[in-house]
Amino acid sequence: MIVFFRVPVLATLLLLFFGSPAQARTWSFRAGPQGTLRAMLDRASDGDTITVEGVVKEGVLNIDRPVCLIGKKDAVIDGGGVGEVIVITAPDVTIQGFIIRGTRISNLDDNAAIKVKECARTTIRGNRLLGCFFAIYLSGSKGAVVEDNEVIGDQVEENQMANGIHLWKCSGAMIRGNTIQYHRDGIYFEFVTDSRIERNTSRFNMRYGLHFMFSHRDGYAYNLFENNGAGVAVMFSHDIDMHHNRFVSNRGGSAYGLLLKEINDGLITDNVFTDNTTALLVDGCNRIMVERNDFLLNGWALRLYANASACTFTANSFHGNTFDLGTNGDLMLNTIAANYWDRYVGYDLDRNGEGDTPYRPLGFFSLLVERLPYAMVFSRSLLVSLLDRAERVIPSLSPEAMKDDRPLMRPPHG
Amino acid sequence: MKASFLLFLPFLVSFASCGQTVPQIDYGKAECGHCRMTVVDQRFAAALVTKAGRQYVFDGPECMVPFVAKGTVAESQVASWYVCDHAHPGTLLDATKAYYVQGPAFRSPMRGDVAAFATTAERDAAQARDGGDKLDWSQVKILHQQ
Repeated sequence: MIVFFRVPVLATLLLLFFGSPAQARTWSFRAGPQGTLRAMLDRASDGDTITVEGVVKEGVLNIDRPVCLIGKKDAVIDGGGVGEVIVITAPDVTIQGFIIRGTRISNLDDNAAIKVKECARTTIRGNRLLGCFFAIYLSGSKGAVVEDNEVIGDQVEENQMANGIHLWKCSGAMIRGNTIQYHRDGIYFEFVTDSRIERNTSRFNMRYGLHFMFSHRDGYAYNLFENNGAGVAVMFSHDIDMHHNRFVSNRGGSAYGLLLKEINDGLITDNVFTDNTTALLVDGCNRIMVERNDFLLNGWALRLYANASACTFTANSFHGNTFDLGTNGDLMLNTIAANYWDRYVGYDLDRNGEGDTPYRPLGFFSLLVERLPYAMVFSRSLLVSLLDRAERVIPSLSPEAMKDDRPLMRPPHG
Repeated sequence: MKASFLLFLPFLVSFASCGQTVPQIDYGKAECGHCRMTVVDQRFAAALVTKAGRQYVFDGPECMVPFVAKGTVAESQVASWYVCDHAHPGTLLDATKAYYVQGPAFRSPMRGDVAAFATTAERDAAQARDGGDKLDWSQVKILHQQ
């Protein structure tokens, strides 16, 4: 009886002292002449935590075991411009609370402040990555969390910068609460699946605030994309859920609030598009549902190309846009129904909340400009507004299906 | 008569020079004629000029070749083809005379992964470093026409 009792106790004690992650130690490192962070990393075991103070400048820092690196106030890791700064090759690594800088700009190597190579469950939290070529670069990573980082490229050398948060062949990533500025693309996804992007702010980037390529079953929500060179682009991907984002002030001939190119089965709901040259461009897409979005004060609210099919536009609100809709052909295989259009001047005699006559969002001038872009100089001229009015009353150019049969009398929300 | 000829001379000169100039790519502003992406990568971008003097800019040969194969601009109408020199980013080369290497290490924007070089020495050095297959322009065209 006594023997049976003692053995489990002994086993538990042994486990407590020598086994399990419960034994993880915390080391503290202060940069100075007495030792290197590299040496301390070599002494640390799996699951240990190292707190760091001061400026660490030891060239490329390889993290090859599962440890947690925590920067105390103003701790810096400076790569010194030799190449990458931190390279992670082990699972379960955390990098938190550092200022990281000193990547080398290169045409040949994708140098990053934090490069994650083929490993799982990396956490990158609360760092400031300043003037880096690539800032955070995840390659072949699973289940990474990148949150609350401030990623600021170099404003002066912006066209030298690469992407802020770059994911390549990853899955299950969470990108949350980061701010990204002055990079090429703020957030870039290529071959990334089952991942989320939430509550980030991406602005003043040279190309796109967010860029999807060949990435599927991902979602992004509650982000702000503002003043990026060309807005946001979602290309060659399927099953992307896009909701509650704001697309603001993306202006220029090839700038879009949101550019959709060859996207299938996407959801675009509850977003706000304000002050963009083109708020939403739909090119070669199938089965996109666009619902409850606000289009405010854009050049074109919607450019829907004839190669799009089975897309539905419902319960959206169009307010103060120069053009509500533009298209490039006669074909219309999409459904536009029950939206609010501020230009609609019909009546609702049966008081069901829907106008009694259809609204035709495609003006004559919108069609003309799509064919002859330089005709834009006549925008807002008397002749154009007369022709526009005529086209709405007696439609002769616009595709017959290009109309909303149940235009709402009031904005559907807000 | 002579005076009127002189009057037109500047126009003739300007027209003549139109077709000859190497295109200027406005990186970060120009939109790819095929895939619509904004062109930023000076190692891979491409451009063509038609006989009428119109310029089209692309992310890379993987967009330029299918753009012409699709017939938006007929191949017979193309006056010159250009690709960026991978070894000297931003410099445009005559695409028909460039030396190419294709491999996954050359991550071009639309993943055609073809890099162009002005000399065989530079191309062979890149291939020695990053692997891939050597190609010439006709092979690049065949590769991207499907």
